[in-house]
Amino acid sequence: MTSAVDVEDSPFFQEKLASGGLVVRDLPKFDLDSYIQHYDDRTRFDRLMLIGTTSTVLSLDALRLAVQQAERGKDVEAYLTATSALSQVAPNDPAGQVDQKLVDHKLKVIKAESERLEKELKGYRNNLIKESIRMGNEDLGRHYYSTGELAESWKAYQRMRDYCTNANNIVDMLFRLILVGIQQKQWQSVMSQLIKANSSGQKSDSRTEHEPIIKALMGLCSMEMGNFRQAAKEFMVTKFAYGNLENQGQIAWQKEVLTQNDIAVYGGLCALASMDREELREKVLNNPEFRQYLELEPHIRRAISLFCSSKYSACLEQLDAYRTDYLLDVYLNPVLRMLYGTIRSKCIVQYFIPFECVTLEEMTNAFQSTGEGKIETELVEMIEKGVLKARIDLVEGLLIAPKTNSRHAVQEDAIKAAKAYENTLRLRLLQLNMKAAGLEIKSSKQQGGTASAPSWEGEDSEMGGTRRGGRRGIFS
Amino acid sequence: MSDLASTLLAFSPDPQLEPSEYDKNVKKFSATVKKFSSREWVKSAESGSLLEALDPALNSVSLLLTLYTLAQNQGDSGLRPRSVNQVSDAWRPRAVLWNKTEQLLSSFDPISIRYFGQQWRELIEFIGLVASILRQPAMALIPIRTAILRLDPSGGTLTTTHVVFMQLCMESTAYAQAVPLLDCIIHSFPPNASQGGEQGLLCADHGLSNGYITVKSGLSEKIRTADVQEYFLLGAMAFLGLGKYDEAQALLEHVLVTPTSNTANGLMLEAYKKYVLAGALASGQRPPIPKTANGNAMRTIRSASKAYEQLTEVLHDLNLPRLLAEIEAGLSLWSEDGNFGLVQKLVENYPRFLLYKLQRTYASIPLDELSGLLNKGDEELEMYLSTLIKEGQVNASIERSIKTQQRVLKFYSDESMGPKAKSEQQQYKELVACATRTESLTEQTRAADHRINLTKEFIEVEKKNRMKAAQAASGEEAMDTSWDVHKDGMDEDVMGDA
Repeated sequence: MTSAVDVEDSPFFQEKLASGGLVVRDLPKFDLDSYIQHYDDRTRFDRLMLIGTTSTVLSLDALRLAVQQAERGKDVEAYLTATSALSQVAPNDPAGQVDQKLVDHKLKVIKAESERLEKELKGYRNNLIKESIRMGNEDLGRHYYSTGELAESWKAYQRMRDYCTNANNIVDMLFRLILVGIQQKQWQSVMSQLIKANSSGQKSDSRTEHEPIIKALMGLCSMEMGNFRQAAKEFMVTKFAYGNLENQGQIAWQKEVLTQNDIAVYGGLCALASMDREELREKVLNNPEFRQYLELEPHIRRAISLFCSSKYSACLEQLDAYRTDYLLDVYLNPVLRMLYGTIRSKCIVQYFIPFECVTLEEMTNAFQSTGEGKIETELVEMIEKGVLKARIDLVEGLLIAPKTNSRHAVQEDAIKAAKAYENTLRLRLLQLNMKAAGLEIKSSKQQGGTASAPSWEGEDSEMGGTRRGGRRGIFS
Repeated sequence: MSDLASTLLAFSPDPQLEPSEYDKNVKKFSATVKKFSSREWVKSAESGSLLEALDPALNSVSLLLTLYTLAQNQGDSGLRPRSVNQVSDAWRPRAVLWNKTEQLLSSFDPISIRYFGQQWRELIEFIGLVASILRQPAMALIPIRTAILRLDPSGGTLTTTHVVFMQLCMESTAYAQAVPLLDCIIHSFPPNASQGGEQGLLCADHGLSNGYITVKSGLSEKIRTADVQEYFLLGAMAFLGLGKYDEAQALLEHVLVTPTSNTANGLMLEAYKKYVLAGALASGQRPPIPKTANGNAMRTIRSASKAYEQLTEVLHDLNLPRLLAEIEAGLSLWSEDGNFGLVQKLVENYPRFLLYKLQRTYASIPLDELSGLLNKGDEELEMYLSTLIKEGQVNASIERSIKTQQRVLKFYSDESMGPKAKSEQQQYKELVACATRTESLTEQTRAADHRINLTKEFIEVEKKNRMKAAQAASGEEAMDTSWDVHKDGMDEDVMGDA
């Protein structure tokens, strides 16, 4: 049996470390089996792959599960990636060997299926029955989606558009496109489909069922695009009923994309990163819908409460304890650094607000345990970025809030404004005078047409060359 | 004494006279002296005491004309000597005629001299040329500047003499001499001729100096666009030479806002390159594009000065090795553009920019730490810092920490404290001075506006506008025109298709 230490030394992780990739060594708080059973289909595979290629501890288990899933599925590419990863991590694991027979068989089946569906679609097209064409495209799209040909799948779903007969059809199609987009991580296009779905959904009968999904996905999308404030807003209005909705667009969103727990975590973190204490209390903790989500992830609720009661270092510690878990989350992984960084600098800023000056020592005590480098460098960086309005006294070891002498500042501003005005007036006067005196640079292409200067004698030749001799139009 | 000499000596117009009388007087004199040939003139000047007898303040015109005639007849080539040999000894700096000219230029009567503008200007140009040929350009600077400001105390009508003076300044590298003139706000350009009537008399009391400095008076030649640009560009270079980067930047802005129909010229390009560097030297970052500049022209210029903008970007990041590499890479470009000196100044001033950044981040910093950051030895650092503080470049002071006994640089967050501190009175004074300047500018703008209102173009457009308004009122006419335009458009289209 290969142990975690061996896994860490495996060529796969060594290479990843060397190329600056992210490798997690700590044991996360979740149990892999019970964690992964909440997910299904492609997202399950993606999540397993991420864990398998990131966490040294869970790598083997995750990759084995991934290979098993791929063996059952129709996506040959996925199977090959999973086996290749496993064979690199644990060269002796039998599951890591590619079963060529299986691959060949799968390819054959897939090809036959694709051909059959294309042929069927052609038949429908000849018959000109809208509904059949729509369904034919839908089948084809779903088939391509399961075989991992996402671009083809997207195209097939796109083709459904012309054959949609009612609002429900359209929302259905958009939902499929959205799922493909999420898989491709094309957040911009997912967002635009979501906006369309939101407006089309208004007309559809099952609006109440669509809405929570659209809101949750918009939240996800905004978060992935780095817009945490928008993301938090969307998650906050996602109805808790999300968890019990029936499939929309024949997709089990709660399993294939986001669980309720995910919404709690994403929403909570985005809110922490973008809202101030007042807003957090009002819009998050006292929000009846979202409170239900928070019940599912009590540590997030605790972190938010800690932040609200100004216990910033405790809040950061709380979040830090779950860093490993979140790094192994397929959607949080790419944005976690930014998310945590934003929360952290917000904590520092909030912490500093009531003080006129704080010793660096105290700052270190409050924040060092959860930070990466020296607190001082971090503060310098924040000051330079303009996040933190303060200055550092290196001699006394103090962080000092800016003292403003507002009377003086107003006077200075007045002087500045007056000078700027004077300068502008000077330039305008010059321009006015030059125009009045006909001192203008004429383009060499222009024919001396427009209301021009009084006289041009003695004009310099440096600038225009052929001021008068511009080429005349051929037809004139 | 000859007729000529007595005529010259007798002429000293009384400033108390009515303008029309004065005018008549001077014109009569002018007609009289025109009768004398230059031979006679030279003869009586050479015969002895005429030059001595003419008082520069009382007989300004006579002295001017005498000197002018002598200059015309000196050497082989008169007013336009091309080499050292063509300048006769008497005209060399500190020689007799030179000194006489200098006396004249520093004390002439600014009213009567207006009637002999061409001679006045050409005499100035002549001594400028002489100084330049003899490689003593600095000798002519003060006489010329005094003459310009004596003729027009505001110095605000840009003449060709201004440009000549600035060229000599560049030649002599005596940049400080240019400052008094550069401080004058250019408020107008010499028109072709002054207005008619009583106010049009050269001797009259004109509100603005462009009333008598006209092309017709000969006090200036016709100003061209390039002259204006050259004056400001050279002026900016003088400020750059003096290390006054803010002022230089302001003058370069004057070049960049040249009115243009969407195109730029070489002087603007040169100005923009220097503008970027001057701004960078002043504040450590790229200056903003002047708001009133023509957008298309600026785009053209900017695309041709990418290297300079790139340089300021690197400077902004305060990355010395990259800055050096960037400078190294563009070596031939900087020297071709004649900007190598300025680019080097960027490196020289690098520690100052670093201090600006530190000032934003730190309230105080031990000198030990600073010497590492600025890469300077302890003593050198202290010297450097105290110079900067003394020059007012950074608002900081060097102190000794009570706790650690270290030497410490203390930054002040604004100018209410520290060595650069300004009292409220000072601020108020500054504000009042600024307001006064703005007020006089407003006055000049009003005058410029008035001038525009009198131009042919303005009146024509105004006439058209009024006609349109009248047409719109009558209704029918307006309908017709719109129909015509439409029909024309149709016709053209039909032809085009065929």
